[in-house]
Amino acid sequence: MSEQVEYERKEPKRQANFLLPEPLLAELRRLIPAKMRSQVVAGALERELARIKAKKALADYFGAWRAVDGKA
Amino acid sequence: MAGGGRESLREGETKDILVSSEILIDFLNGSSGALAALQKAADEGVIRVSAVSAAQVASVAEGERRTAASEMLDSFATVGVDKEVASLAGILFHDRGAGKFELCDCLVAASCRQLGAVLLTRDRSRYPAEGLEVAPAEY
Repeated sequence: MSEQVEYERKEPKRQANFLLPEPLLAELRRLIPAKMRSQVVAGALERELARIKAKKALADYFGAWRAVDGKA
Repeated sequence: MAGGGRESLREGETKDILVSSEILIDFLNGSSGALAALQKAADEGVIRVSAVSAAQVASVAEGERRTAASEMLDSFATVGVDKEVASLAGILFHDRGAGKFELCDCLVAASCRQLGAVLLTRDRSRYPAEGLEVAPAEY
């Protein structure tokens, strides 16, 4: 199964509206065929959200076991 | 790359980084070295955790420690074990060293190879090196 077909089947999709800088949008349109743009943007957003979540977890859970043991 | 491991990370590259269980355990125990290694990984790529590593962490915790570990692990993208990973892990275990490597670690190595991810570990000798890209955590 191609990545594109797999992406389309994977989960329900909803339209979202974002404002993007014009040069970025132009580059997206130049490099990525129209049918694949949602997949590319979703992939980039998924990675960035994962990075943000991970950084928050590093701040929130550092030494969590020591805290539980009352050694923090 | 056949026949040997590779070291990472190259500057400017955003990679998927699979974190080994001992680093997660050290982090939960308050190791500043583990924290620094994970912060560097978070700056350079996307941290992911194998379901096998999550099981390894859960296996050494109980009560509130297990709850804290579970909440922390929920914050990282988990990589499951599918048939391809299981098959590759079995081959690595059989061909590269039954008795030398643990099957758990072969599953992590296989996930890493399938994802094209870098493995962040303190102990690279636990994993079959062939085709594996490693970011050594030195602390």
